[in-house]
Amino acid sequence: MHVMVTGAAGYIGERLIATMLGRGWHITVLGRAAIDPAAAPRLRLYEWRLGANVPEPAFSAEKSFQNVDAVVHLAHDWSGGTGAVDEKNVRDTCKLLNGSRAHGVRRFVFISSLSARPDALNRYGRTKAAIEDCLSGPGEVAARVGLVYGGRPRSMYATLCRITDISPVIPMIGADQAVQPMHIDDVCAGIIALVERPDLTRKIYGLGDPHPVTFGDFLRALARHRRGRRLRLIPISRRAALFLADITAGVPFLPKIDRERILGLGGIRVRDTAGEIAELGITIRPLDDGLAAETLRRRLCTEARTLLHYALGGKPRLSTVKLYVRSLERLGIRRAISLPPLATRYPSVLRLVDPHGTMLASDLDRRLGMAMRIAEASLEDPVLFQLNHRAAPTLAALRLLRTLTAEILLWPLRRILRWRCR
Amino acid sequence: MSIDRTTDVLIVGSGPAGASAAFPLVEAGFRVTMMDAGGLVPTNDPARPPLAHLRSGVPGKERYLLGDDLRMLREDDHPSPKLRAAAPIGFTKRFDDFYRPMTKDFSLVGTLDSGGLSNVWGAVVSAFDDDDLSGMPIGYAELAASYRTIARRIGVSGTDADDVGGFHGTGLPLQPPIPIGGLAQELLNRYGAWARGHGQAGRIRLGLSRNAVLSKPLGERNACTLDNMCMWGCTQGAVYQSLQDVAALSRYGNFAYMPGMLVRAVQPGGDAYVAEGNHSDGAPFRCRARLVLLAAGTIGSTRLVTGLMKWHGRRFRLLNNPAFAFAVMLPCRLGTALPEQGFAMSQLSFVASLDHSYATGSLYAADGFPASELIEQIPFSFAGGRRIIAQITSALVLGLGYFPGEFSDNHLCVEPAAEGEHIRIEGRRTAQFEPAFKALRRRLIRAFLQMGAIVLPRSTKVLPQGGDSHYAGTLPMGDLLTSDCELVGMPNIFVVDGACFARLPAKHLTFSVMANADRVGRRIAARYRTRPPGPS
Repeated sequence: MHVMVTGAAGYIGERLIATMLGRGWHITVLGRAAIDPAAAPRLRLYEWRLGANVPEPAFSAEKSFQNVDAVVHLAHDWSGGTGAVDEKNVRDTCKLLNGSRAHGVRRFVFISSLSARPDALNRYGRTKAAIEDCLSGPGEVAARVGLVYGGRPRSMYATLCRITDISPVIPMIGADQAVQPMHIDDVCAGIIALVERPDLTRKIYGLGDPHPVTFGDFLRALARHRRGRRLRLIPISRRAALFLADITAGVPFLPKIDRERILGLGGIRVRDTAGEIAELGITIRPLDDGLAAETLRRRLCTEARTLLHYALGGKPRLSTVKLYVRSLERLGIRRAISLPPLATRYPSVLRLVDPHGTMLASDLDRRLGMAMRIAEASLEDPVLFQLNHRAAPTLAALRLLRTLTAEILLWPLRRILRWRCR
Repeated sequence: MSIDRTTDVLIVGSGPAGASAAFPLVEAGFRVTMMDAGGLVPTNDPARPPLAHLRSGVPGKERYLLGDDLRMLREDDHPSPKLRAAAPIGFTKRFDDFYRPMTKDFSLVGTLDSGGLSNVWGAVVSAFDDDDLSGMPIGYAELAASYRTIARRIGVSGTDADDVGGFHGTGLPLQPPIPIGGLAQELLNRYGAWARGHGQAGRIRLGLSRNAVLSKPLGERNACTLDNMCMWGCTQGAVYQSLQDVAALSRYGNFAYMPGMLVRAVQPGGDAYVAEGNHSDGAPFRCRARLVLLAAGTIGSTRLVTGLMKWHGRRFRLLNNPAFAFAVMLPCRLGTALPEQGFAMSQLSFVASLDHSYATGSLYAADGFPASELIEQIPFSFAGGRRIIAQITSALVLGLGYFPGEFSDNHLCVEPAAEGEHIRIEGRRTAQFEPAFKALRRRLIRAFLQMGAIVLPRSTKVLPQGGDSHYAGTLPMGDLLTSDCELVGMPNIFVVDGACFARLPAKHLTFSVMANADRVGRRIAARYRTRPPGPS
């Protein structure tokens, strides 16, 4: 399968490219993103921006790249302009569409939004609807994406993460507004289905949870999973929200909130996506599952840093932390252990509550054991595991004695603290 | 697609017993089919760097040290670090799924993989003498030629010339011993000085180990390169594994090796026997054979014989070597640099006489072990354990000792059940074990102390029964089998693996199992020399 993708550098685009490469597909990227050389054999890049003509070679077969099977259009020009609808965006997209038709590409997937309506409150939604009207041919479909979350936080997901991270109390508009969130991997699965499936009966496919949640519930879930805390939302009027948006645009460290988004939030209408999702043959993970998986990695990273720091007696390298997280994920471990907060800040404290040898089996014991093996197999300094230089035997014996004494003295304390900790 | 096959001789199992029985039969012209339940075993990467190099930090280090399948991170209770590092994940799973063992106080290890446990064994070889074989219907004389044949074929390295050379067996063709490290040499030197000052009577003897590991190339197998990666499997082919024999056998036109064929039952069928089972993809097969040699491992062969003789529910005596581990430190070696090269398998052997028998064991240099394995054993905090191990590795020797099978009192039973049979094993040691072990421990501590070495306090641990993986004695020669290992009451069924040994001395069993299997193969060939069994 050979797919041409625009907007590959964006939030969804980044994930989509990785997923498609993982399936062995060939990808022609139109845009300016830098190519990862490791992916180079099945990925090629042509300089392009929305509105320019598509370079001819982009559509043609060369070496291992067959003819383009599908175009996935994620790029959106945010440069603005005025008017009810961003006519330039519509024109430029049609240019791409015509180019695709001229080369006989059998499938054109336009990434739209659940807010797409001719009478949407935000220009973004109106523009997306206008572009959808350009799709007329049999293989030309639009994927209306809802509220996407998951993966590396970017775009609106990043903004919402930052908002819920900042404070347990935030002013918010539209807390009761129904939204249809979807994990980014499910969105990618949907886009891939739209590319792959031979027969599509519809023109518009909504990629959002058929069972909507309120925006407030979404934010509260985000806060609960990311920060483990209860979020309180203070309802404000739309005018107040727009005012706040203007302020935060000026202040450097606060998250930037686009006016357009606030307007869009107000105008969302729920779409019945159940049939469309079923036709694509994808399953949607529930919000809680999706968020738990997201934050699992974060919690595993914290666990990795803490346990490795303790095991090595110093800050672990990033590659070792990554190795720990990746290894546990590969082993199918779905739970991070809970560590005393003091330990996360001062990992050496774990020496006092290290369960090893106290004959009280525990998760911490097993994870520490794994951390030790992973650390030994990583690129950390090998002398941490086998001293490998010549030293006078007496000096070495003294060092050994010192460690032994410390451990013997600590042993009863550890036993007691461990018992109290259970 | 079901498979129907007819052959002269069917050998069930591709481990060392089956392979050793096959050679004389194949050479005599019989049509031999060897089946095992496993698939092909993945081979190690020949480009794998030596341990010292890996430790210093090369890209891909974690792949080699943790295993591609992250085997070093798996959770299991088995005491053997070798099993953890060398055996792929799932090594024992199919065995457990098929035999559905229910064990009490017994740590059962088995695999259905091709080559069986020889893929991960410790490769120590010793020959039984007449005392070891007492109570069995054969003596050393019957096995001598076979021992020599096996040693010549698989390549055994060691020496006759030290205090344990005679114990391991004299008069066998030997390659030079694998070079031992500075630490082991120091210990050996101190032993020499100590031994000269002490009498012969009742003392502990120490010497070079004898291993089925090549110090010189043999055929297509390379000699040991001392890369110290033995724990993770040998990439040179220097350590004997039965699949090397199977490859050699496959050059004969009258030998067929069929992996992935799980033999579920062997039953009499007219003038031959019929083995039934299924291929690993599910397809059933039937194989008719005039002669069947069971070499599926003690557990496996016992199960097949139970099915054949309708002995379900019968309690078989199962022998094992009660084993113990300990750690010894040579303080004079603290502060030495780690060697660039090393041999991580048994470097030294020790023998200690007991009241009516003897215990034996192997000594290993700790630098060939992953530090994490050692840290795991230390009853201190992980942080403290790491520092201690880092400081003492260059001075640390690990010991693994075995008691004779007389101290074990295990029983095995094949029980029928609605969902299919399962194996029930109850593990026990005799009442004599505890005092004998304590006495031996005292002697070892004292002996090492006199050599200037310290047995680390509380490091002496008795392994759970079965942890040694030396299983024998369920179908003893001279009782349930004839002296030719033929099943009494079922002519032309032979059992040639550990099950046929009526006694299990403290010596490692495999070499003797192979020699006996070779002997049985020759006896069968001689019996049918004038009238070959022919196709049915």
